[in-house]
Amino acid sequence: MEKGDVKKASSLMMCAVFVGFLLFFAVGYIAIPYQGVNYTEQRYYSSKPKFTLDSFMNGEYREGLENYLIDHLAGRTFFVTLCSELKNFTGRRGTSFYWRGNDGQMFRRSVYYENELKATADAINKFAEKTDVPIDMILTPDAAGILDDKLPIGVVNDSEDMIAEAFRQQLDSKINMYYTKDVIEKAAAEGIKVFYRTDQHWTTECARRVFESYMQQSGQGLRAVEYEEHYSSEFYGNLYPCAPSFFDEPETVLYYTNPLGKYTVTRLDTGKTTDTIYDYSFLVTLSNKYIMPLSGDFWRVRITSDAPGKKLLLLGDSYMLPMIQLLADQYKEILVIDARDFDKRGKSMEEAIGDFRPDRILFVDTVFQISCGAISQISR
Amino acid sequence: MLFSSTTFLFGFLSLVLLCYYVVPRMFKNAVLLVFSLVFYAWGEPVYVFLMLGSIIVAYVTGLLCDRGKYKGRLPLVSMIFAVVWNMGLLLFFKYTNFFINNANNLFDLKITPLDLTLPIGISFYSFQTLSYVIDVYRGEVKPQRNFLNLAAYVTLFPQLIAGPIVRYQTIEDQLTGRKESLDKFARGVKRFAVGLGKKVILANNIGALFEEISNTPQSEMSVAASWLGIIAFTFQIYFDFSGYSDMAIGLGKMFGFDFLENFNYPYVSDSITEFWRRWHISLSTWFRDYVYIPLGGNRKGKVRQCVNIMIVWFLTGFWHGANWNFMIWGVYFGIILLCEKLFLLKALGRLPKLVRHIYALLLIVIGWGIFAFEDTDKLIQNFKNMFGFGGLPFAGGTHDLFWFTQNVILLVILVIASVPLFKRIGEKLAARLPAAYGCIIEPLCTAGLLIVSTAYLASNSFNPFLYFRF
Repeated sequence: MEKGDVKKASSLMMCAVFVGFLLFFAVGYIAIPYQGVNYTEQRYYSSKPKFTLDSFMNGEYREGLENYLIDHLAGRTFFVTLCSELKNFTGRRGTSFYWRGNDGQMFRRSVYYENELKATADAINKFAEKTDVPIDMILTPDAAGILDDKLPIGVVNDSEDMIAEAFRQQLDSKINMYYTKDVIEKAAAEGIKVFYRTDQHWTTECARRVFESYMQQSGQGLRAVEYEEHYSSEFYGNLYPCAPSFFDEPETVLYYTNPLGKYTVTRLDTGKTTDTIYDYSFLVTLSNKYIMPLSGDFWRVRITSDAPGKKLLLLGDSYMLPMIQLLADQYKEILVIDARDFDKRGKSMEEAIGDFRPDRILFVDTVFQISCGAISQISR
Repeated sequence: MLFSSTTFLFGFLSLVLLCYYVVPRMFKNAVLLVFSLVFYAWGEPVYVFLMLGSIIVAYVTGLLCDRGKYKGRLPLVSMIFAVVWNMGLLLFFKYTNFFINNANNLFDLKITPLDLTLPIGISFYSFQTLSYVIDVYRGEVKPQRNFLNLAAYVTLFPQLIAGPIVRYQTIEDQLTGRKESLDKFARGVKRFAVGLGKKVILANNIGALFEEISNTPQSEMSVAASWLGIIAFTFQIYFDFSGYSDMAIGLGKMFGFDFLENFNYPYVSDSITEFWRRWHISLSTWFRDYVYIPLGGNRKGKVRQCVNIMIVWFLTGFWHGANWNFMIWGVYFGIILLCEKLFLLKALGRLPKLVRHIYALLLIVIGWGIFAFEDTDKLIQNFKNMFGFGGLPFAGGTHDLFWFTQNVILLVILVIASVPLFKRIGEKLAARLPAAYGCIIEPLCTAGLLIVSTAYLASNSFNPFLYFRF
């Protein structure tokens, strides 16, 4: 090829690359219809902003349009995953607050916030003062507290054992705290997958082990129930959007059903009633299937069953979700209350509980949640 | 509007390129003007009128200070008016609150600071319009009689927000006589992709490390972490600003313009004198031509030259922002440059190249240590930490190992990208395998850069442009 021809051909190639690049995305915006949910990132897409003079002048429109365009970029999921892979490749295994460890195990950082921990203990103590019924607390470490051999080098993670112990010391003696680390470690040693790889939560099998141990240790005994096991695949957990990978296989979620059990699940704020603990629509619509029990929304839910047990007030965070089916077969009535961020609920704890008179109160929480003070507003 | 945003890339740029290449030549500047105004109004809907005001002043004063046409005092008065207008705007918007706050502190006054937002790019376009009028007054360029052409020059979106400071004389002929070509467009694409990659892949990632370190509580820090933080900032500011300049130069080429270079691998310098010949070249040369030389430069004796150098560097620091740290930063470099001019360069010349290079890099990094912190308390604390007076361990801070293991590969990439290694490899390949390099390797690398940059953009991570605030 002549020198001039080479130059022309290379210029043409370069221009074609750029024009193709711009066209691909520009046409993508026109051709690809609006998508409501991004399943990989587990969030809703930004909607198209409305143009008004006000919204333009105050920057809302411009910001909204940028968000919309980023969300609706053709091949967005591919690009987000590519970015994550590149970060992983260059050794960037996360941020200060989440990490992608060995074997693709995701972790959430645990931080000892002394003041928040004290506020949480004070709040629970204050709550306990107002009641005579037994109060138990199942406290659970995160994956980083158990699967520490999979943590990336140099991560800074406060000891969950230390946080749990500091919490125990501040907790009123009438509250029986069950720290679950030993049970989970034992289950892990038996080869049970105790934490999801792409999620900070424990698995259903792990939760069942902890539940059974708790029932025995607390002297309540365990009513025998024959559960049917169901599996839902294509599960990507909460932490997955932080660092998705092209090579990550989806996980499988186990959920139990009791074919003989009869349940009435009532949402007290809306009065909406169902006869099942699970939201089966999640089997097809969402990749995060951990939150199938009660659709992941456990604010003031009353569950009655045909179990011959007593009444339980169940408080805590999302770690309680895989336990709800199991608890519903041990208690005839459960009032479930999401104890996190109570100040944003518009109701005090007394108002949330209403006329429900429990025989026992159970908190199910993670060390992470108590340390960051998420349930420290329950006494307000 | 950021160059590194989807709104710009897939909306604005696609549209402006389409319109520009569709319309006849006589409308091309009009297209650029309209789109440049939209580009500016996107970020500053109100201040676009301020910029238009500056263009009108530059146009009128430019015509009136033509000494070939007007005799007497009119040209001088016009030029002074343009200087007062531009400097007045800059002082008012950028420095009023600085003066108020300092007066309050110094004299215990209670003057309420004004509710002012700094118009984006004012530091750049003020200098451009000013240089235009001064050049006309000096007879170095002819006044632009076509308002549209002058407005197109001032508002030209590739260089409007963060430079390089394109002087009128650089593109006077190009405003009406430029020629777009396939080859120039291709070179523009390559340059733009390199700039985008520098910004999105390198600067943003290392910038996140600096942010993290500078927001870490003192109790979790170490001397090593403080140095790591400031080294991260050293890389961030280079790849951020030179990336922007590359994108600006690349965009300029796509529209047929040739802007002057603004960076030339500054971190390979052996002295601070050399560093400032390689860093933000358009600003250094602006101050040289419009401040240093008019003050007398080196023509009025050694003492006066030293005074002139210090004035220029104080103003260079002040130009960067209304904060003491910028002024200290300017004076810091002024003193070093003075020392180098008087005796240090000769002494350095006798040292091995490696030692000279370490000397320069150390002073550059310390300089960025001053530049990075606008909060004086943080600035002092950081310097205490860096030099072992902060009561910190040398290493072994809470996050040291994590930061190092997470960023070591990135740091290696940044070091390699700071030297002209890729450029030389490219040149060698182009010489040995012209067809394969030009038709396959280069377009593939460019496509790769664009795709990876888009991936980082899609993940919507940390994406500030440091020089927007100046």
